[in-house]
Amino acid sequence: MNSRLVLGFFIMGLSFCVFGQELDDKEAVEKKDTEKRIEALEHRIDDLISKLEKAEKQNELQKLLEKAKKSGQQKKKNTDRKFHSGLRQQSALNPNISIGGDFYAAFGTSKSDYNRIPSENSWGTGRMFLREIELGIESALDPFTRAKVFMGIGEDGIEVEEAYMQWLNGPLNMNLIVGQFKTQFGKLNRYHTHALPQFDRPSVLAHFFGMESLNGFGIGGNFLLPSLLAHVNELDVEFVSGGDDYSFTSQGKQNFITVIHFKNYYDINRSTYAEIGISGAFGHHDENETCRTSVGGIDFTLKWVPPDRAKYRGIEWITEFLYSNREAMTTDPESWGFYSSLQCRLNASWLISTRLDYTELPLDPSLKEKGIALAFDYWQSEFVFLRLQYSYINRNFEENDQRLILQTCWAMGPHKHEAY
Amino acid sequence: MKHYRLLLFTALLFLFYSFSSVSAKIKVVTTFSDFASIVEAIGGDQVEVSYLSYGDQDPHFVPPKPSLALKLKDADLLISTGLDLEMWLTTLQDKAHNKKIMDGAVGFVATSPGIEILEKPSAGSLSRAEGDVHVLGNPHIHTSPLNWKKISENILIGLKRVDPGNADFYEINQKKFSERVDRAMFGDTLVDLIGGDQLEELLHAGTLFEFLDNEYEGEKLVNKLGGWLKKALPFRGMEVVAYHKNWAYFARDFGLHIIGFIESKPGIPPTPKHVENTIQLIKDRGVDVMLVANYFEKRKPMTISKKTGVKALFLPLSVGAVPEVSDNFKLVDYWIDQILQAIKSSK
Repeated sequence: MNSRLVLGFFIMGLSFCVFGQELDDKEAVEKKDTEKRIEALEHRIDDLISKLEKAEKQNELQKLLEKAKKSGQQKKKNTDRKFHSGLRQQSALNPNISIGGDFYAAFGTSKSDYNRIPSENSWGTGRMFLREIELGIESALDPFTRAKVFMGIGEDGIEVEEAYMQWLNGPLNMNLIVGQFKTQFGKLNRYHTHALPQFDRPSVLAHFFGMESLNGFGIGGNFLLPSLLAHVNELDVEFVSGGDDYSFTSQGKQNFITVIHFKNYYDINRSTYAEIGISGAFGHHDENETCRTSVGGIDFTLKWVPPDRAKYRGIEWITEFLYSNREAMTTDPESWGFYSSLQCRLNASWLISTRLDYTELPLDPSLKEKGIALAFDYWQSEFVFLRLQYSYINRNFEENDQRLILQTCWAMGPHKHEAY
Repeated sequence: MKHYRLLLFTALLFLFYSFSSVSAKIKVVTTFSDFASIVEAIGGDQVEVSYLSYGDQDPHFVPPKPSLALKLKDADLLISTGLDLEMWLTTLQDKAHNKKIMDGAVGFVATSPGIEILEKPSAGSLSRAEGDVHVLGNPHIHTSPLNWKKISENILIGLKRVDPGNADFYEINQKKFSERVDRAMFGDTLVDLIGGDQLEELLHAGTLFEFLDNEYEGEKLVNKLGGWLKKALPFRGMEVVAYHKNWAYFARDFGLHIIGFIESKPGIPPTPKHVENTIQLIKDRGVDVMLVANYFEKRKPMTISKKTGVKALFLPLSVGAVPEVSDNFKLVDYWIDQILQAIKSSK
């Protein structure tokens, strides 16, 4: 009986144990489940919070960007706008117009008319003069052509200095020029008088081609050649009908002059360049156009301008030699001459220059002229300069002269001298 | 014999290849070194770049030498400001015998379109009485780094036109360049947050710093400012004098107030009376810094400096003007560093 009771208790105890164990396992599983669910919920809450924060941030950024946009546009909205039609504003198509003035006062020691009275040989002395008012007009004519006109208004009236049209970028690397123009003989022949380094043209150029330089009406080609002898080689070939009544007649039927210039340009270093040119001009000097004149020339230029001080420092040395041969009935007169000009820039406003001249007159080489000039230029601005020049001229056919010249040049409008 | 023929054929083939590979590069000529630096960034190894004016040269006065015309002769692309700064360029274009680079032609690029031009003279002030005025406004556009973005866009148009085959390459590089400019100017954080173009708009509207007063993530936006603008904060709002109107765009971007010039009028050498007035102005206003492009004379700025204690900074205006400035980014670094040093030494 006891053993049955003991067995019964034992079985009961065992079943309790087993049941209790089962109960514990269930609880543990449930607990784990609950923990997992809590963890998942916490993740979801974190996600939601971060999404919310992100949304808030984006909202804040959006607001900022809107603010930025508004802020950026704020000023633009404040502008009052008036409306205009462009129909009456076609003046923008007018050509570039410039006017330059060149006045001088000259005083000389010579009392001879040759020196004192303005003529083809002298600018004159003893009073104040209007040398020139130059009217310059420049414009493109169409997509292919452009034109330039320079009219000189002096004490003797109005003169067309240059009036030409240019076709650029032609075949064979050619620029074509047609019209009235100063020929490309040597270095200074192309320069307008107000752009010369001294007041007057060098004696040799003045006596070979006249004080206004060798020019004419005709056609010319500028060719950029392959660089063989120098860094840049250029060839100019020009045929003009003109004549200066010095070397070439203007009284003939045709007055044809052929001008050739071959230029060799060398970059020596970043501050210095040199240029050597060879020129020739061929035509006639008599009315019947039977006697030929040949003028040859060599020009040499050396220029030093440090790029970082270009406004304040610079030296330019230009020298030209010219030789003339005129056919005549008996002997052909041969003459030659040269000039050498040195110009130094001292600072932004002041330049000093000097020039030596020697020439024989082409008509009669026994007539000779020598000279020296010293000039001080003061550039008030890019558009106004004053010049004081002393010149001594010695001739074996006329009275010698010492001159003091005070010159002022000015320019209004866009035209500038295009030298380099 | 056969070997010789083969050798000759190979040599010819090599020659042909060399020539074709040389000519494959787009030849770009720019008026200034600053534009060349941008072309290099966009064009990479597809372009061969050269420029006409030295970095230390006055950009107004470049002699139109034949050797410069020769540079333009074979150019595929000519890049200029397009304003009336390079008055010497037309002479070179006319002498270059190259149709492609004439105004309006396929190979001509003006870098200024799209840029807000400062100091445009009004009808009343358009007179030589105001000195050597620029009819189209202040042309020294490259002194603003943000203007480089528009400049690069215009250059991109030109490159794509003359070399459409590499359009994608140029476009990617231009985008990279613009982004680099924005990040250099404003710093990475602000550019990521607001965007470079928006920041530029705010800066040029004069409302950037007002906007940066706003808070974001619990702090003021100005604390997120980086780049040159942050570096230049010490001199923002400072009064300076300059020799010439070179610095208008730089001053606008970096908040400098140019209250006087050593030149009495643009392009007109300073008169003794004007120098005296400038000295008085510097003393009255307590100016610490004077900005002078390093191609100007040093005598007058140094005289003024001695009499007033103002620090005369002779700064390179363009890339290459001093050896350490090899690109536009280094140029602006150099300007800012020099001004900061000058402020430090004056305190």
